[in-house]
Amino acid sequence: MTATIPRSAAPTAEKQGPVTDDAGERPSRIRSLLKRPSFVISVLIIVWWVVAALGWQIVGLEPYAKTGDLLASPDWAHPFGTDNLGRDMFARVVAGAGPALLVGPLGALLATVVGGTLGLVAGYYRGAVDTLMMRFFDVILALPSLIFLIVLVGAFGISTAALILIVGILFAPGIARIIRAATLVEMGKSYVTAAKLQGEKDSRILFRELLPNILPTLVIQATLSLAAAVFITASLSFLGLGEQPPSADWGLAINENRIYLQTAWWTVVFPAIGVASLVVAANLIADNIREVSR
Amino acid sequence: MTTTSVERRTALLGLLGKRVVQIPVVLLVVSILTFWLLQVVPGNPGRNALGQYATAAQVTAWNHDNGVDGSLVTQYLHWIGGFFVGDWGQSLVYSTPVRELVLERLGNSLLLGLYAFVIMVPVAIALGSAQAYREGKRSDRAITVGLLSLSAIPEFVVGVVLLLVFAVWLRVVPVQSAAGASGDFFDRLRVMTLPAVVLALGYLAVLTRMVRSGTSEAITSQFHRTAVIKGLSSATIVRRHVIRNALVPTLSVLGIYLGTLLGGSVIVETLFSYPGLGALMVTAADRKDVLLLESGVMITGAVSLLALLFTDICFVLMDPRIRFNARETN
Amino acid sequence: MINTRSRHRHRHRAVRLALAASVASFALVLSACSSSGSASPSSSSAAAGGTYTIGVSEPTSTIDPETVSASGAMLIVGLASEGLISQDSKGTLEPRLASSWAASSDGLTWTITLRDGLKFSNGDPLGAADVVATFNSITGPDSQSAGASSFEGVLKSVAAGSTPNTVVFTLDSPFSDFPYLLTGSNTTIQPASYKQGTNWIDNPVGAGQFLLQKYTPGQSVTYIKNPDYWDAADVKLSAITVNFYADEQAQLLAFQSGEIDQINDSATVASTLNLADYRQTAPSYTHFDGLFFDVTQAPFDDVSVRQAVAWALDRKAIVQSVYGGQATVANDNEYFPNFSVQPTGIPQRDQDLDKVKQLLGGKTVKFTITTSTDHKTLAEVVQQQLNAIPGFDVDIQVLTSAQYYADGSSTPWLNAPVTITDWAQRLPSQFVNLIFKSGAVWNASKYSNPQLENLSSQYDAAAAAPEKQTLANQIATIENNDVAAIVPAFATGSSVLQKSVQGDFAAPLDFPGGFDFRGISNSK
Repeated sequence: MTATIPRSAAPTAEKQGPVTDDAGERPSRIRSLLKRPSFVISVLIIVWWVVAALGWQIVGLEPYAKTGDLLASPDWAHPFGTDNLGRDMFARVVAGAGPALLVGPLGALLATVVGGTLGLVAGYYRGAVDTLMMRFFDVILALPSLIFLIVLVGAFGISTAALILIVGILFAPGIARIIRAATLVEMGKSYVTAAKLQGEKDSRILFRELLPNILPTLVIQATLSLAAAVFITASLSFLGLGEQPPSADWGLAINENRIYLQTAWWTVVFPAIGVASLVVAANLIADNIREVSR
Repeated sequence: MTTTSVERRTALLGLLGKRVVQIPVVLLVVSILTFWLLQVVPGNPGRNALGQYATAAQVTAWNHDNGVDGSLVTQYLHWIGGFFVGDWGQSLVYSTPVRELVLERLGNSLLLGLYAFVIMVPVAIALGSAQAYREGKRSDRAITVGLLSLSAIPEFVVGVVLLLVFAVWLRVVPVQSAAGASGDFFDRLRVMTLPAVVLALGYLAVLTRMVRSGTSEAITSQFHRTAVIKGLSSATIVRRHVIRNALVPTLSVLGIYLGTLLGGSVIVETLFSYPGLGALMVTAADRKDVLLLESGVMITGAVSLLALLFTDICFVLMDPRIRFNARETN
Repeated sequence: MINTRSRHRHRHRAVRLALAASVASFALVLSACSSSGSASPSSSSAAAGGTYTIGVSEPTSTIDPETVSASGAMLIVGLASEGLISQDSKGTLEPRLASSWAASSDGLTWTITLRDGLKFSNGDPLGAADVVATFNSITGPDSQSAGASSFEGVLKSVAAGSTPNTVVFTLDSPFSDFPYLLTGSNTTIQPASYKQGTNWIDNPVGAGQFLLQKYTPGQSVTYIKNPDYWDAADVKLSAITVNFYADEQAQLLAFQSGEIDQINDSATVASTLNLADYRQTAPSYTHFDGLFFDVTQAPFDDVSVRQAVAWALDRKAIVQSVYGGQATVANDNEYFPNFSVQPTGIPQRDQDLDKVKQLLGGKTVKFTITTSTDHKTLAEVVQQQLNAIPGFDVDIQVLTSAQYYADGSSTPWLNAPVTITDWAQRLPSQFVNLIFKSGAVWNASKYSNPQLENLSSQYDAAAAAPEKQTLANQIATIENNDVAAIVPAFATGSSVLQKSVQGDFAAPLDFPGGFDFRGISNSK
């Protein structure tokens, strides 16, 4: 994935009808979701990685110790082979789910909540608030993302908490821009005008009327940021930052082992499958939810 | 229709007028922020130049000789004063005038970015619209999964695989794509093909998704249905309605990515040793070459902001759903 | 092992064929655009001895012969300039601009005689005045050269000799290995008019084997043979190209594609290339990665804890996994195996878990190893080995080199409790002066031992071989017992060359070897 940062991944032009906030429809939606194989498989993949991240220590996997020859190809003892230090790749891929699931989802969540709220507020109030916010975001967007990343890592370090914060700061402006655009579209619709005429409170219009209608756009942005966030560690590691060996982080593993691609493909391919499965599953879940809620 | 176009023209003029004032202000803030933020990046230019075995006194002397001591404010004012009159200073890292360096690399980056665009856009439109016509079907899912998986593989792995195939096994391109930067145009394009393809692949998934949703929206819309009922040939429908509607989101994404391509292609530039602006700026940040970084940031910042403006203009001109008025477009 | 390998190769070939077939069309398009049909930029007229292409990462600081510190920049300078003396791959001194050297009977002055008729590339003659000016500039009070440290406390003054073409170096105290210092970094001879701090690329004058033709930032440097070189008859290559690669793996791929003619051998390179398809230069010792303990802080103020770590390491495994076999096991002293004097009578340390148990006496030592990204593999392996042994609980902290070698009094590389730092080959007494002497700037161990310092000065003054041998044994015994630093292995460097390269390099392409291309040609 290129875009280390999906600066503003896309001013989504997905059109959504006003979502009726009808509780009665929900069970049927869930039922129709469960009938979709791509949704079920994706959920199972995510569940598997969550279980892996929580449970690898319990089953006694050893991702850091030398348990085999150097760069041994996959066999029964090491189903994913071993790396250049003789560590079991299976154990490392399973243990690597932890950092990926922390930084990716939490970072994306932070970015989505912050960016979404600010975008909504800017689009709703417009005027000076809007101008000020959007120009402030422009400042962040105008800084080349990797340069900004280098600086942020210099300031906050590369602990998991710092990475979550960094993902939040990096991705929020792009999301805010898109949500603002989506809010502007919604503002022209009759249900907002009606709510305003009825004298509803701003907070209620923002979060009870507008938010549900913008939610699908927000979900797409969240999944796109998720993918990019999982990638942050790989890009940082490529830049010579963010290396904290012997961590089993997928991005780190892919960059460190890529030089063995010709001799020991398994050291690159399995962590890459880890990343890809997480990214694809998250996107398919989002797709399905969007299609069902249409 | 006429009222709309009048509205749009006013909106457009208002938008442009405001941005002409705002963009320089934003850039000024960016430049101050960069100057200040660079201080937290670990490292010292003198240490970088003289190596780990030079003494602290030697490092201090080097910094003094090269004008990187003294207060930040003085350094900044000195730089910005020079920048406005075209004197962008001397790079600490490359010992050459910053202006020549940055402008030359900007040209290289633009060329690579454009090449990637030319590869990416037709593919994305073809794939995305094909998907839209098969929405929800297995082939649609398969393309989504395939593209997403591809975009989930880091550029430096995709790049290495392509280099292995085309440079090592088939030997049709060199590993160092800088070699073409001085050759004739077609030779240059040949050498740039791999980096451009890798760059394009990274953005392909997102772009295809945009085309897919734009198209699917267009073909489920009222006027599409009307057109079908009217009995227009499907080719005409695609030409008149679908492509136009699919292009709306696509164009705005392109605008945004133009900015990103300049600052964000560091990995591709590094792997293929392509002399672009992204890698230059990472080196500048890493080696704390503040003058080089500042000028680079100003240039890419300006390009990014213009690209964002372009996006907003596209939005005003092409999106039929927004009835902009001047007040809303800031 | 051999079986699995050949099986792999078969599988690789199948994948290779499939891939090749599927991309053939794309390749056709590409090659159709190709005007020359060849991807190699250096395929231009291969005259007499041919062109030799080297890949390096682009220097990221001003290229000034007197201050360059990055290996790529040293190569760029070294191809076009020359020092007085160099070392071959066995560590033997070779005359270069100097034809001979001799010490006075009291050992306090060294007289160097220059060759006759030496010329700089701009046509000016090279004489004693240029040598004096160069050394004054490097070692002067305003010098910013890291090379100055080697001469500090050693060289008192340098002046032209009484006879033409001689230079006299006057020392503070007798130093029998002084000529080795003249092979150090930043010691190539510049014209007397050269001013330190200049961007040498703008006017690349030197007396080296090649003339710098064109420097293209971000791309390459090109050289042609220097017809006025003092030994021009033995320089067979007609040209050299130095290509810039920003990525290590890209460099490896460039070598595999034939774009460059040599690559440094390393664990990753060795595992990727089928070495039978290439030539290899003779290995020579380059550096060691030392594990330094702060001996003033618990738990390392206890010598038995330091010894326990030393006995806990599996050095042979380190040589394999960290250096890919490109190293020899070392015994916690700083006598490189190619040095003329080798300490004797000290048994080689190897992993001995009983001894570790006994030295630790049942306690558990917990510590963090701090290092830079360059040494992260060694840190990881040391951690892996120690944590597998009861009694150790080891963490590692890997910093970027900018952070690790940061300026200021709290810089990690000199202040963290346990550090891993590399030291390029130097003389044994230099190591004592630089890293073990009480109060020395780079004494990361905060170690102090007057007896060691005393023995080391006696060693420097000694001229007779038996006396040197006795002193070396005593010095190495102290270093080995006190374990202020663990030296697990001495790393060797060698290069893998394309088969088209003919002739043997006298020394690896590094500053002590003086970037010597005599006898090398390329039939590509």
